[in-house]
Amino acid sequence: MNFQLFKMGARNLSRNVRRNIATGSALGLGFAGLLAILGFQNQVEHSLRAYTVYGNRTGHLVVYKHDGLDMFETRPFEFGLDTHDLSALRRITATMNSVEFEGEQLIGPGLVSNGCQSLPFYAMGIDPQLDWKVQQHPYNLKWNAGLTSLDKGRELWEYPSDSPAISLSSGLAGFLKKENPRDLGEDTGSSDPIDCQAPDASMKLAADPVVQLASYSWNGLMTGGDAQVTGIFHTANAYYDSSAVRMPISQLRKLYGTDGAAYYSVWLNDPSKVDSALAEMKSRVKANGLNVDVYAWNDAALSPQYTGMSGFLMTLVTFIASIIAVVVVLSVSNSASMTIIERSKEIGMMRSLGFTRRWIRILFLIEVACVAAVSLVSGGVFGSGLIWLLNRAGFPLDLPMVLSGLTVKMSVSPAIVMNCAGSIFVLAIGSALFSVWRVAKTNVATLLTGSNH
Amino acid sequence: MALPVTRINENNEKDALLVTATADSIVVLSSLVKSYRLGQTIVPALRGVSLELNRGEFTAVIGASGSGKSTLLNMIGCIDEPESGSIVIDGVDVLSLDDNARSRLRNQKIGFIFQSFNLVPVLTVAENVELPLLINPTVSPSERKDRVAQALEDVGCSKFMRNLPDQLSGGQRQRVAIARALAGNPDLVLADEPTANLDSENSHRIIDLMLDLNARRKVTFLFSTHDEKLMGRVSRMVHIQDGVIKS
Repeated sequence: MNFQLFKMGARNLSRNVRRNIATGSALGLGFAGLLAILGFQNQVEHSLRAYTVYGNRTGHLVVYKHDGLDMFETRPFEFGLDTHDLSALRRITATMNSVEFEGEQLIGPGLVSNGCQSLPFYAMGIDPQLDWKVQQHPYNLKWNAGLTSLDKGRELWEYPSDSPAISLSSGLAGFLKKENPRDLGEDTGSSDPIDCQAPDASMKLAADPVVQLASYSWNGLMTGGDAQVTGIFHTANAYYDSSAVRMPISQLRKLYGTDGAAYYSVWLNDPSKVDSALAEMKSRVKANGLNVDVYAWNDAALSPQYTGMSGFLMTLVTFIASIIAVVVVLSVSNSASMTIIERSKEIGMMRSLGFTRRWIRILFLIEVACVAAVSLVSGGVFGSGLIWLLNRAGFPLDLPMVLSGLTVKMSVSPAIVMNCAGSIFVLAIGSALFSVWRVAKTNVATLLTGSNH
Repeated sequence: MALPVTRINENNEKDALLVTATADSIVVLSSLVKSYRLGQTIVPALRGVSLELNRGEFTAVIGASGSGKSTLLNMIGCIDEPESGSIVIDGVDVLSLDDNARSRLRNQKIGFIFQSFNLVPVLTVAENVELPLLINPTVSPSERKDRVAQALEDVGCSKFMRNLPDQLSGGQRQRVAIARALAGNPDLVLADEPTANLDSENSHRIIDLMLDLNARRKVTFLFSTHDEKLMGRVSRMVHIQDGVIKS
């Protein structure tokens, strides 16, 4: 294409500076707005993903006994994975190149007592070394930083995998007055029963890190045992923060009197290949005759909280992005229409000089492309500054059932910038093209009289 | 070559007319009919016009406002279409061409001069003259520069080549418009009332310039005017009245 025509398109921008500034501002602000909203979505989406896959120890793929997802909690003996299942699953995943690490987990309810008060708990048992891999995974550290470390005490993986260490959620620890975790091996003081009515009972309870656990085994027998609180953590969800407990899977197995597990989790090297890994896993478990169900981490049945919030966020973002798109389209098409009306004689002159309809369209598109390019650069700079300020301001983000402490954060990736810029650019060009299409087809003589509108 | 055509006379009757097209013919119009809709009314603009222009002629189309002068020039310039009739430019049946081919024909064979100059205000004089050459694939960039320089020299505007149109007088702008029309080395230049926006002195200068270019470049000129002072200076006059050629 001839450079002179580009030059003419660029120079034409000086013919109505105010209008071009108004159009450019709409494009630039639209771009900045898109960056902010998509940056926010990106941040929340990754945080939710990290919380679900790593923070919640779900894994990218989860294997339950057939119907175990719904039935395990009420009938664990029938719907838990047995040692045969677990051995077969270990063999299968050992030969899958897509697997980064894997392991079984056990979950279940019970009562935890400080000697004076008993409260219900919901425990997660995991191999401490596996827990270390999961929690220290770079993706988790990047997107789930606030939930990767304990509030107090030491991590389970700092102790042998069969140690009686236990971590309590902060709410539960508060109710039990066990907010001072102690290292295993430290002197835990007197083991005499505490007089719960005595004035110093609270102090004595706080000084004693030992708790008593009670539950039913998978066979339905009452079981119990002691554990030492070595860590306090907080969860993202307020509901679980007053009942969640973590301990080595060996300890939880002892409590439930089983060698089995609730489910088997698999973390992948490349999370973008979940679908193919899911298909492979399903195919292999079937080939091995295992009576199990395999789920992807983002299956609504497995992770309703993730899919619900992600879906809501997507709806919100789509709505806002649609408004931005409408503003961009109206601004550009309105501006282009006014420019075309003003310059219809000139268009007629150019057509009479031999410019084809295509050339007329190209000339106008060059002008819009110039406005869009300048606006995108300006909007990008403005948007980046705005996002930086908002991230630093730390506006609180209060979500239902999510513990406080979250702040509004936006994370803009190069892909988001390119996609937003591309979308705005295409919308601007498309809107202008829509306006110029009709005039380019108008009779040249009519254009020359300036009466085409 | 003899083209049998019909013409509608003053009594709205069809006359048989024979237009003879020779090898020298650059334009042959046969029985052009064109009307415009004005609200609910159909206004006839051309009523069976037939005309032949030879190469190198300097012809004025004269007539009152609304007589059909501009419509006739629009037809010849391939920027409007008749309801019936035929238009042959340099041996090409224009009405059989698609829009792109007509654009090419305009670009390479026809030059336009407008009453209100129609220069692009953001382009310099030289860039305005270069405009039709930018889309002519047969003209190389170096030839483009030469043609622009030559055209501006022919109209005496070389010294303004870096100026913007706003910095020129009306007469100078029309000279630049003439240079733009000539830069493509057209066979035919059409000028729709080129002196209407100029004072008497500038009008004569523009006509002198066009006559001079007609003589030197052998380009066919066809221009419309209702300025009677200019009429004695042309080699041929076509008188149009109510959409019909009277003489």
